Amino acid sequence: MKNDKLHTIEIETLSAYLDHELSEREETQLRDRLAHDAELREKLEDLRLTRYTLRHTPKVKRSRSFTLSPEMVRKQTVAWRAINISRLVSVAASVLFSFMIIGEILFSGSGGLLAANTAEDSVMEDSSEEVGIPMSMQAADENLMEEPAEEPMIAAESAPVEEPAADEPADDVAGDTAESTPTVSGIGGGIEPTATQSLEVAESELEGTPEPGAGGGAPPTEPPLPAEATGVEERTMPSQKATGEIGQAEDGMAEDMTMADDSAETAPVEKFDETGPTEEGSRESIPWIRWIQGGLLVLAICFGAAAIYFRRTVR
Amino acid sequence: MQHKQSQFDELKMVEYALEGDLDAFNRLVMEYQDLAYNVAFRVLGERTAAEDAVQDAFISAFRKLKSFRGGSFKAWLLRIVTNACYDELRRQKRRPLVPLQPTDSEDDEIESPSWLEDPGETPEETALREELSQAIQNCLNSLDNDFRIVVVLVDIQGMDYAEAAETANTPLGTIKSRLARARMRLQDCLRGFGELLPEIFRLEGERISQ
Repeated sequence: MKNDKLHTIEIETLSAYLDHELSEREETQLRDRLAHDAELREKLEDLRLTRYTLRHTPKVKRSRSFTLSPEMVRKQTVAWRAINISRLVSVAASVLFSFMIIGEILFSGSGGLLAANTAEDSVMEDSSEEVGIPMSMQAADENLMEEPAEEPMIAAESAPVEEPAADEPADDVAGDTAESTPTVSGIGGGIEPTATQSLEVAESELEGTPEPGAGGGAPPTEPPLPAEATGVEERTMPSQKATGEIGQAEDGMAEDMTMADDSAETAPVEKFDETGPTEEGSRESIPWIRWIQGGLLVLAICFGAAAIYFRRTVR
Repeated sequence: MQHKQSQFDELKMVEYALEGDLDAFNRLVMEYQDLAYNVAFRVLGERTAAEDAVQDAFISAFRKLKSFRGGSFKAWLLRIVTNACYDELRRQKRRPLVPLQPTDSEDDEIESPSWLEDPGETPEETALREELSQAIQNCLNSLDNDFRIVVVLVDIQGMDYAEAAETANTPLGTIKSRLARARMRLQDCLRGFGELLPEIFRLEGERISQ
């Protein structure tokens, strides 16, 4: 490997020596080496002969003149102008298209963040407005804590639902608290309501109408109360009954579970409502953007292809 | 003195051509067309391709004349010619062409085409010259494009390293190494054509070695 490298360097030096392209110092050093190295001298002579042969390569005669005519220049000028315009349009369309894509990505990214922030802010505002509501949540938690071992199946089912319910905003909890009243009345009738039924009942209760799905249970005698009062009052009811009747307490726990389910269900709906108008607005603008982007892309491709075509045909 | 006068004329012609004087530019074309054609022919190894490349190069030179910032007009022009040759080589790579051998009216191959003929030499000398020319061209064709251009500029056209570097738009050190390696390869190749090489060169070689 080292010998090969040395060999290449030697050849380069000898070649440059033939062309008088070495410095005086390099030339003197090489002459000294040549005086003592027969192999190096032989290589030099081989190179000299090759160079001599190449230097005496016969000249080739051209068969025509290459002078330019005005038509030739004009034709070429027009053709090159067309090529340059095509290139310019293609590049401009490509750049605009890229900007639009980048802008869309950036805009939609920040829009998404803004929408998320808006939803979070609204939730925070609602929570701060209704400070008294978390008490009902505490009551619900107490209920669940009282009877964990009696119905393991229910506890297991409630576990994943309870966590998000605790983090839910206060207005959701207020709604759920209102649901507890009809379910208590439903307990009396021995019917376990579903989450949807609980929601319907809660709505009807808040509106002061009688519960349609209460079965044989007695209609509530109390007048509709504000959410806060209802929540506090009715929270105490299942626990009071639980001290006497275990089965009723179990039902109360099940109701609390449905409350938690409801809160989990209602939360995303409200978030969707808040982000809804922003998404609709962006959806409306998307077709126009797509049309413009498509047009730019077509322009870039067509004019780029035209430039390539002109370049290949022009001689 | 004559060189200075020629240089002065050349610059004047460039100035006139810059003002749009096509006749002035055509004087420059007439001055350099033989050199440009020989470079293109040796690089491309084919007459028609070389003509196309040279014509393209002159048109391109006229269009780009504003980019000439002084210095050696010859080097600037030959750079455009070598670029046109590279374009032609790329085109040939995309669409390979079978070179047409020159034929006479009876469709027989002409041994000594008119563009190789010299009225001042005997048929034997013409044959000798053509033989050498073909042998060298075959060896040049076996080189890579970058190596071939350096050999053509330095050994065939007699440029110095600096001028070749400017023309090929390549560092001087690269020119030096490419030339040395190309000469070594050509040496091996031409040795294979030993019997074909004209006697005068063999004798010259013997004389030099002595």
